[in-house]
Amino acid sequence: MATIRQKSAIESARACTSAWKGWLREHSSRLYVYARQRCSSREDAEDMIQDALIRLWGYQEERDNVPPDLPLAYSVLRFVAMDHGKKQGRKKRKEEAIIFLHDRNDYWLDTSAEDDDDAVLLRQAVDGLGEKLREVITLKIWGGLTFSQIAETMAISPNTAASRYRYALEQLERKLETLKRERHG
Amino acid sequence: MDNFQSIEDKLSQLIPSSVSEEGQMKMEDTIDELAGSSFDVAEIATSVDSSQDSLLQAGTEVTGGSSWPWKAAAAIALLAVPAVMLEWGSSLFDAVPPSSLAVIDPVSEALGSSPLVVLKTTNRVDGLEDDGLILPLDGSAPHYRYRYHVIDEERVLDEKTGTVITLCQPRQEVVTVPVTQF
Repeated sequence: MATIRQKSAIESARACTSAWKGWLREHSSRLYVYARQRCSSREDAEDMIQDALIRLWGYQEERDNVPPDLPLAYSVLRFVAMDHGKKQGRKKRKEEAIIFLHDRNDYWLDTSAEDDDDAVLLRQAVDGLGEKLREVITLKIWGGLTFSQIAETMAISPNTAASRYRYALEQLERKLETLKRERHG
Repeated sequence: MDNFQSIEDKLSQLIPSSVSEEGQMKMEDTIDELAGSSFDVAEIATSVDSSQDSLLQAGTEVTGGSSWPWKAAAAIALLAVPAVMLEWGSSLFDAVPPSSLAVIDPVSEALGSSPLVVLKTTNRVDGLEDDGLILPLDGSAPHYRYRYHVIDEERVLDEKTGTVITLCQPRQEVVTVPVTQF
């Protein structure tokens, strides 16, 4: 006979699964954008999110199995991404860095909503940013994090996060101007 | 940051691609698996008494609506053991005979009236150990003894949540074959 405790555990398990799936549906796109800018393919990015999910589940078991907050999710994903990078080895990473720059067609949705020259150039400019700057831009613009959450995720101070963001915007603006000039001769 | 408002707006309008549908499903499956492993299967399995009466009681309760796959699967696995033991004497490496699986039916039928649907039931022989000829000290008939490592696997769908749970129950079976000729 199932005890009240067992029944309650069953209900908790169901509620927990449903909460996590809801959380994942809400945030998977954001997490993907972050993961994707740290690796060379869609598959790798999805695998990284999956790894992060397993680790996060482990962490949250001590916190009543509630879905994690976003900064924690990004921190874990960042750690997984670093781990992933280490495993690749230096030579392979070099090769991938080349692929990375040329194989980013699936990074952006090809949408007619962005059908203007600036959008195309801006995408190129974002792709051309250094890793640290692109990371901050990704977390702020598409990740929806505040500077203090970005700081928490990247283990830096909020001031550093804000200044990297400002610097990234400056670079994007300059790059955009340059690309525009090149395009129009 | 006001100086950068225009570029921030432009950036916000860019739409990065998203997780593929396949990727999303894979991740949701991972959540199901994690939930399955977090839930203490052993606790429920041990709470089901090993006697047949208790097992039937557990099966009845599944019909009653307080069902959960763990419990049902534990009951199924434990019900299957004696049946398989009886049926396996002659064919050592055959799959589980249909007549032994029939023992599972009451529980499976019980599951049918609950939101849980049994998708697949398999019994896999994972290995064999040959203990050789056994000569019992109590004077009973000598026999050959074989140990089978069997894995019962059950896939159950919770229609309410769409969760698919796979339950694996490893067990060992001992089959004795009497020596009839010397």
